[in-house]
Amino acid sequence: MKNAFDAGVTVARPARAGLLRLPALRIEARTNLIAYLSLLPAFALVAALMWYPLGVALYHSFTEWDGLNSSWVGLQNYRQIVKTGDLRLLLRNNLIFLLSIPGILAISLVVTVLLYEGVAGSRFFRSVYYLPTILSTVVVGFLMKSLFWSQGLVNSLFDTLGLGSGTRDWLGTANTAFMVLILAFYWQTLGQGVLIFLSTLANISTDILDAARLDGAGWSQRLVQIIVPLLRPAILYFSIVNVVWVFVGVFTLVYAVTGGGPAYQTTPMDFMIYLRAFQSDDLGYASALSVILLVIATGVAWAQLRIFDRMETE
Amino acid sequence: MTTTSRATTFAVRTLIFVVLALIAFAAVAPLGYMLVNTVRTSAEYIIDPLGWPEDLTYFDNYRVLYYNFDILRLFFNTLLYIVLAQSVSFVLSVPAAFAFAKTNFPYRRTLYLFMIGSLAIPPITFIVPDYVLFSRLGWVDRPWAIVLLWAATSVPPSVFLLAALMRGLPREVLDASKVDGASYGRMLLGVVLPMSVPGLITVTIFNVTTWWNDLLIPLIFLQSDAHKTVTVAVAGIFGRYNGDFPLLMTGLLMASVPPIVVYVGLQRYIQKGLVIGAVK
Amino acid sequence: MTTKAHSIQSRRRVLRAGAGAAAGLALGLPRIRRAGAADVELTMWQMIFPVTDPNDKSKKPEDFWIHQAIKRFEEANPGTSVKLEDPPGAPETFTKYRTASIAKNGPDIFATWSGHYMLDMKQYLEPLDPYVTTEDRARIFGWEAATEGFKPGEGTTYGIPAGTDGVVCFFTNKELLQKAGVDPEAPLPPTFDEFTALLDQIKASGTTPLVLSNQSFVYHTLNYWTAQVVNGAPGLQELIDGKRNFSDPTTLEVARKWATLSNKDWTIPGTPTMEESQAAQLLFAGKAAMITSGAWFIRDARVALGDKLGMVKIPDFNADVTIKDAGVGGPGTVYVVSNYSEKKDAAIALIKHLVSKEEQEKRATANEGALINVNDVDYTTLYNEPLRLQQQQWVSDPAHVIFWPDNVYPFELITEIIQRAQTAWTGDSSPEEFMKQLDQKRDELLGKS
Repeated sequence: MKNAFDAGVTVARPARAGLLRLPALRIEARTNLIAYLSLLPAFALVAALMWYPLGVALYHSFTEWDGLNSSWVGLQNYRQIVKTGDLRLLLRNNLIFLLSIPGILAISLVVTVLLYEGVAGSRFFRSVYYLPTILSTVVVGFLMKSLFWSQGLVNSLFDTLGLGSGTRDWLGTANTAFMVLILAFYWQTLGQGVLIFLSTLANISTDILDAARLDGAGWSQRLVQIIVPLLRPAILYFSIVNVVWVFVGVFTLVYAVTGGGPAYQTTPMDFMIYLRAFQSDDLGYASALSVILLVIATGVAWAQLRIFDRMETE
Repeated sequence: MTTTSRATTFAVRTLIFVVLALIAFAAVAPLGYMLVNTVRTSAEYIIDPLGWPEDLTYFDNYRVLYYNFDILRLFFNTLLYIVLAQSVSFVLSVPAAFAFAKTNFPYRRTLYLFMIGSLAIPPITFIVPDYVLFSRLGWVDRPWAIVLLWAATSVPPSVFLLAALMRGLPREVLDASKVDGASYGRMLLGVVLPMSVPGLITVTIFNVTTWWNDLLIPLIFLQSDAHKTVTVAVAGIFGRYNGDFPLLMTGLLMASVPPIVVYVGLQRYIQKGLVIGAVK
Repeated sequence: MTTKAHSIQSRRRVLRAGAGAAAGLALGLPRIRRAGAADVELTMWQMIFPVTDPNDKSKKPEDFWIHQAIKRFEEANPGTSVKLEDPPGAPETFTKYRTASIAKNGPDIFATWSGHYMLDMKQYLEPLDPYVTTEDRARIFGWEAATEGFKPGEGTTYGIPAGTDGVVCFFTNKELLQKAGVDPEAPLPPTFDEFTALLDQIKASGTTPLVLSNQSFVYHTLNYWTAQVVNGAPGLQELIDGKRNFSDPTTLEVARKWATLSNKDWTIPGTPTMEESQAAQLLFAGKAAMITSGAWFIRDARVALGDKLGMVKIPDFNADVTIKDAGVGGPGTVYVVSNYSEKKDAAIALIKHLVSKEEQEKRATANEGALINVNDVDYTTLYNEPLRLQQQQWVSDPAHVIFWPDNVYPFELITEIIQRAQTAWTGDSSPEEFMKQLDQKRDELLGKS
């Protein structure tokens, strides 16, 4: 990674004839100045709207704050988060999403391999699989909500097929509500996974795969022994993107499908922060939760990068 | 090859086809269901969620969307915010990405790490304090609130992608332009930018997708109907119309048409863009 | 408001005035010459009046009383325009109002729910005592629901009552009841236990007796019976103050029996995720025989069910309760004015217009939504619907009305009750756990204030 990063960087060199007369230091300083000036606007906006607020959140996590007035309460918010069991529940909910990632990874890989066989219609299927991916999460979420509503399509299908005992209020209990949430996630992500893996495979010489096929290796063997190792960077990329999503982006899906219910049992951290901040006017508590989420999210991202680095150097 | 193994191959390939076709059905069926139900009444839907529309010319759901939501306005708003945010985003991220890609200055790695590290910051953590900040400035429910926040959050991924692509620009061209006496700014505009067009398209597609889908920022920062985006308006249908599924599905369809049209038109770019930069 | 926030606010106002002046000069318009006569644009959010008709979606917002009443106001007050917005349903609307109010960016007027829904937003609300005349207090009723501490004359008034919801009861499909051998005109059995026998009887005829929604299953039944066993408002206050626990045997007994209603043979499954109008549609489609609702429900139900529509009170929890043959309801809605509004006088003028005799007569004639709450309009001649008349009579007898307990509970407590009730209803948590969770939340809220 380090090498990839440094590759292609032009070391500052005196280029203009007029500048050649100036001392080398001067030119380097000028180049550096230009670089810093180029970075300044971008950093200014990011710092103003993303970093500075984190400082505000950190400070206010030790206060009781309604947006207008705040008073210092020390660690009370944190103590309350831990004591009421909120933290455990929220972490569990994020963790469930996290644990669903290997599932969609495996499905995407298998479908990729099947598509790679090149049976009739593969190109068409590939485009079709991508359709749910281009829809917004709001659309996907509400669509799933309508399908799994207690009097909706899924239960009607069960009834029509004479499987009345299979009907239930899917979104009314935590287990099945999570099932629907994860199904929505899978439905939307399969196209993305297939696309990433197929494109990566397209860049790999077909000789290896063809050779394996001629050797008579079964496709499960080919999957495990050849394709997975070849796709390792793509798999890592896919995993990172979705792990980040678990901490950064589940809000929309939960908002659309379950609203966090029943009884907060499908409420992830970001959704609870939203509720606490804007439904309960409890911005201090929300800030404390934000700080915890930030630590976890950056920690997970850092760990992933470390793993990524290590696997690259292996 | 023996006949039996050919027969096995055929059987396997048929099986693969069937599996793939089933998955394709699962991918499309909900969309078809959505479409069909836009021309059903709520009563029809409640009585039989599996039924076929009684009257294919029943367009009341579309009428409600037209009368009670200013659809054109919603599309216009969304488009306006996207265009402005992307403009700001380019002005900020192109010079930064180029500096990271092609100049070696002190603390480059550290600064780069800070920029890329921002990708892992969950938006909700800075959006709450930003909301309070903006409310003090009187910037809430103003289009530029959305433009600024979208632009700011797009800078780290844009810098990341553009810097990665700009590293591949041939060094000779850039040097030659310097020898020609072109100023840094002119070089950026005249040489770097034209050469980065595919990358810029990729970044744009990535950003536009993210913004079109964004619920959190517009939901919190926009309050009046006149300023809403399509996604926020659609997300409000269910609560506002108390679980009227046919109406909801009409709204969902409305929100799905532009991405599908754009996808069909720009399929190649989009696929490339999402492979390089699919961060949801 | 802190002084700091205030100074920022006033500086902003100055800046805005400056910008306005500059714009006026640039356009050469005389608009700002007379500040008093300047165009006023009021913003109003409302979540209490119907603006759609589930039986006829092609109806436009302009076809409903509230939009027409506002149009009449605009015609009578040239230069004043009103932007009426219908935000998403509760509780999102409260979230939205709070969010907007932090930025002093909410509406000038908010037509919302009364009691604690309103009081818990009071940091953003304008005290209305100076604007309310003795005449207003005499002709409009429901002031207790709009006043801090529920005591008019003592607490601050933050709202002007916007109507009355009647008394929540069962609306029935008489045809289905008859089919089950139940006399649709007779009162229901007087207690919960006897009532369950009736539910079995209806089920035996092949009809699911009840359909409840994700709000009504708490607001209309659990809250009603809880209020009954604690003897109404004073008892509810004891629950809120921690002088009484939700997990006490009497209230626990209510939770236990209430949860048995979720029995698949009695109630259409899916209550915790069922929206109010979805439940209504199921009743209209003949999939259930009874639903709980209030006066606002009558119009749509009559259109859908015609002569089949019946109305009976909800049974008492047991024979020992003191407030018998009642139901929750009363003045559940108010108009409030945001304290950061810069057009308070115009806002008050609009509210006064909406509650005026003329407009209330038109509202009574429109037969939409909830009931009127003024004593200078003769509803007996204006209502063309016997059930509305009946409802107005029921609600005028305070001995048989329990004011909405959800409006009495603090906002965060009722939010918690709704959330926790979802798992208690499905049996994923026990009634004991449910009640303990409420005690815990209540204690947390007490500790905070």
